[in-house]
Amino acid sequence: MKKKKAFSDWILFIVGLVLAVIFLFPIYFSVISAFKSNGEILGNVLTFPKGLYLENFKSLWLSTNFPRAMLNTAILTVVSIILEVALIPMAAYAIARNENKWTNLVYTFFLCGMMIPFQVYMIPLFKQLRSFGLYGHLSGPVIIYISGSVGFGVLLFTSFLKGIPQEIEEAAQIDGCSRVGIYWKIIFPLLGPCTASMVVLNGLAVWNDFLMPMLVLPADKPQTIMVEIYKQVGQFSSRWDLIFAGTLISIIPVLIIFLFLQKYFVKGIAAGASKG
Amino acid sequence: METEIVTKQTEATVVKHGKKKWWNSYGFYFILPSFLLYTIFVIYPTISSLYLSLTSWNGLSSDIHFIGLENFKEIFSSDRVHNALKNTLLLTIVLVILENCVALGLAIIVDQVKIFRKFLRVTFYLPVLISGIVMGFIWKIIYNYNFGAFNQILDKVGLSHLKMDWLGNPHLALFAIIVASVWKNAGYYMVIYLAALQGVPQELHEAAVIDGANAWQQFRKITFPLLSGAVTVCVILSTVSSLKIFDQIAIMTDGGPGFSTETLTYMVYKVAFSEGRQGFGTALSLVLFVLILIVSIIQIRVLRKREVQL
Amino acid sequence: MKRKSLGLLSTSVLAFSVFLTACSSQTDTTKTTSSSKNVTASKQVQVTMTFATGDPADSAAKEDVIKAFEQKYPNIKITENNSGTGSYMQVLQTKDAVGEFPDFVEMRDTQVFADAGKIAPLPQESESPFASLPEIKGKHYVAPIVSQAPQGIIYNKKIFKDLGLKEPKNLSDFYALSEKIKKSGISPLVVGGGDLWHLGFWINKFLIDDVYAKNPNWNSERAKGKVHFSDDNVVKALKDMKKLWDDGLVDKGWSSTPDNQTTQMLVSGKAAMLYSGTWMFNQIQQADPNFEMGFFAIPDENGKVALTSALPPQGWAISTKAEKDPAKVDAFNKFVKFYFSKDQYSSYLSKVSGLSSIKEPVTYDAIAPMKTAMKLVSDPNNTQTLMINQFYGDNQIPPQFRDWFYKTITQTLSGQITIKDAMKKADTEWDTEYKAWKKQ
Repeated sequence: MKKKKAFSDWILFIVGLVLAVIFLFPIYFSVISAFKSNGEILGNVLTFPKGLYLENFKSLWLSTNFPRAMLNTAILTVVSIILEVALIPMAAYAIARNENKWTNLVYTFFLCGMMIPFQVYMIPLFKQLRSFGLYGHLSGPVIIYISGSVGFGVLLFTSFLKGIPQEIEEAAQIDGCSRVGIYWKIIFPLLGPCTASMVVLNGLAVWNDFLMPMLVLPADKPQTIMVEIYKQVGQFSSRWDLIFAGTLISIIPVLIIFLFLQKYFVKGIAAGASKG
Repeated sequence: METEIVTKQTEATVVKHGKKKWWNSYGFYFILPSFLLYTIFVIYPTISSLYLSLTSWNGLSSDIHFIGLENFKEIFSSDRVHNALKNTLLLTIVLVILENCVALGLAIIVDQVKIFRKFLRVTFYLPVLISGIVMGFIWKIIYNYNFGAFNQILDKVGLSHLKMDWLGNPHLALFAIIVASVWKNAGYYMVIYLAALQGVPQELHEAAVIDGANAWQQFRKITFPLLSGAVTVCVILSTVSSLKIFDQIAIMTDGGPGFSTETLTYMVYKVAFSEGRQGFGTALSLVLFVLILIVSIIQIRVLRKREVQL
Repeated sequence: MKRKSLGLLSTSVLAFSVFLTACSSQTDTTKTTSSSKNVTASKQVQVTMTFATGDPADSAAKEDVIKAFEQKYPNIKITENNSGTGSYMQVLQTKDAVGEFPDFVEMRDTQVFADAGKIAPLPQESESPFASLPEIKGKHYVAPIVSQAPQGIIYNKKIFKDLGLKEPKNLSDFYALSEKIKKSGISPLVVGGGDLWHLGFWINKFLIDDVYAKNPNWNSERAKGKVHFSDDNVVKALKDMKKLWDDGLVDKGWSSTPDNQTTQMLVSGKAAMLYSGTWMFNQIQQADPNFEMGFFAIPDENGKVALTSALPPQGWAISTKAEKDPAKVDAFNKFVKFYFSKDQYSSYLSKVSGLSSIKEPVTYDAIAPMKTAMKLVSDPNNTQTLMINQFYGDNQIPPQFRDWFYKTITQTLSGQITIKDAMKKADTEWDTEYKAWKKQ
């Protein structure tokens, strides 16, 4: 019995290892290619780079729009998250603590939005941004990101709030605390795990986003990382070395944050799943 | 105590006697910013798209011609739309099945394995962090006929006759994209399945072992039924996201070769932004939206029913 | 008061965020060359410019001219606004949709933009360097940058010598020599099918031989319904092309090989021939200076040669918006004069292996294949015509038809549908698009 179990354990482990190798291969491949020159890549796809060839990173940094695009992506991510955290849980709180026909209506209204795919309203949205004078500014995508997260965010936070007993708030009210105060000083800190999940999931989505920044930010100025990579592929699709360097740079910040905040990623996905 | 009641009553008054004071209540201001942003930048453009879909606007000229339901007529009779629909359904069905099976398999491995569990979990999840653009590019190179990793490996192990133009062969391209997408997304669903698996009480398994059940029987009769909630969620999520796949197609094939990887979602983008038919594109996007709605509703009904039964 | 400080905190967080986004959206122009130190008293003129960047050698050459121009006229600053996705026409349409249509623009699909009122006719002064200019509705809209370069087979001279091959006198000769190359184990042809427009070179070659060379007004007749894509001559043309694929004369990876990988395939000896235009000469030389290139045009079955070297309405144009600003008009005239001045222009032409479009004779040291090409163009026996989407006036095709058409033909090459069926679809698609286009 024990032998059988140990044997099947080993099989499981080996299968897992083989799968891990397969899963890691594309990443391994792009990492080693980032340190090769174009000729080397075309010559030997699989081998380890001969030397630590840093030219790709140098040219990427110095002669393309990449650094600026990275900055833009970072700004979009950080600002969107800050504003989302500032505005959305607040709305969820008001809805969760005031059950009446108006708030229920608003709640359903918000939820409908989750069903609408971006493609449906991207064209008129595009026109709209121009008439608002927002085309060309980073504030355009920020606003779109926030508006688009309202549905999911409200859903997430209202169900989380249901699990927070109201006694604390009632006690604070007796003490004379205003609603606003209660929210920021008591509730908001309690929302921590939920907020962390939203930050992590939305942050990743904004960082990796492609279609919207491509359409909404003007093409002659640096856009975001993903758009720049796409443009490089189009214009210089034979300069694989540069593009691999770029993709590596784009993955690193995400990896670092992931390694530190792993559990919030997991929690966020689980939370989104159970509410979905 | 009294103050509590009084405070509560004042609030109730505020809410009940609506018109008098609702705009003064905190709730209003808490909701207002989100409400405004959402309405102006999501709902309003969606409604505009209903109007735009009835025009022949090409995105270039300043006048917009109203053409009624012409766009929709064209959509229903267009070969290209039918092809896109076929591709969309094929892609979605195969991708959903593969993603979920692989994700479940990975989850089981991670759950059951004794060592390196964390390493495996991270490894399988890593591709999720990578954007569709980056992933599309990496795989495009891997699939390249002349210099790509796949074919080079086949050469090295002496299987050169198996070399194919993975992305250039119209019969293979869609599946090539599917394989790459499974790699990218399986980790995400694995996390959900893993959480569900870890919720299965160990005692059940132990009791089954005592009763002489083998691993497969255990899985069928104990584990799988208890996973039905997770299955519902994952299938729905993966279906909707598969219907909306865009980035990978944009980088890997641009809908080609020919039209063999053009899905509805991709066609909307092409037609509206690449081919300058924004009125038609909007109409197509509405059709896509309806499709997503119908599919989601059906799925929710079917899967929830199954859940309840089990 | 605690509420106040919290409110202050949140307001400042919000304000800071807004500040960040506002700051970062300040214009960050990328490719402006710095104006020289001695700024003249003349007013600073800022213009935006867009040109097509599909050909890296050409882009680099254009930029050289622009840099030199800005050095000569330090008060004129040209901001290049070139990036965008999709075909060049899409790039411009997107720019226009967001209000960024450039002041000076390289026009390729001239009639589309002229009809939409986006470009203005050339200022009188800018017409002077040219002997003749393409006319659209009686007006001249573009200063042609080059005379269209002819397309033909660029081949590996060494392979031909080793196999004892001669340049073909007609189409069957061409099939035969390709077969010989195939038997020797080398891919006869590399086709950059990964880029739709590259496949277009082949499509147009066969269409021209059987359709346009015999009837340059075919497109307008199609619009009137007198001829159809499903006609025998069109089907035959495409069948002749498909034969290359069916007989295995095209390298297997064609469908996903991008145009810029074809150079590599040619110089590494993996393929013997590449069908493209004279602009490739420089790219190939750069990839391998020792590569011996030959060039010939593929004749039709009767030995007749038709080239895509007529003067298409493509070139530098000025936008209607910029035309209203006299300072910009003046800058445009200066730019055109400078660009087509003898030294600048011959330098540009030599970098792109281009054919001159101005009346003053321009010579540059051309490599042997280029001389062959020039001879072909000046041979009066050879028909000179255009690619399907370059026809203008009554012969203009619906703007989105070309890409759809090429994509559908791609499907016939891989056997997904028959040519006859594809052409029937083409007729339907043409009618639909034409109708939608005319409604605009």
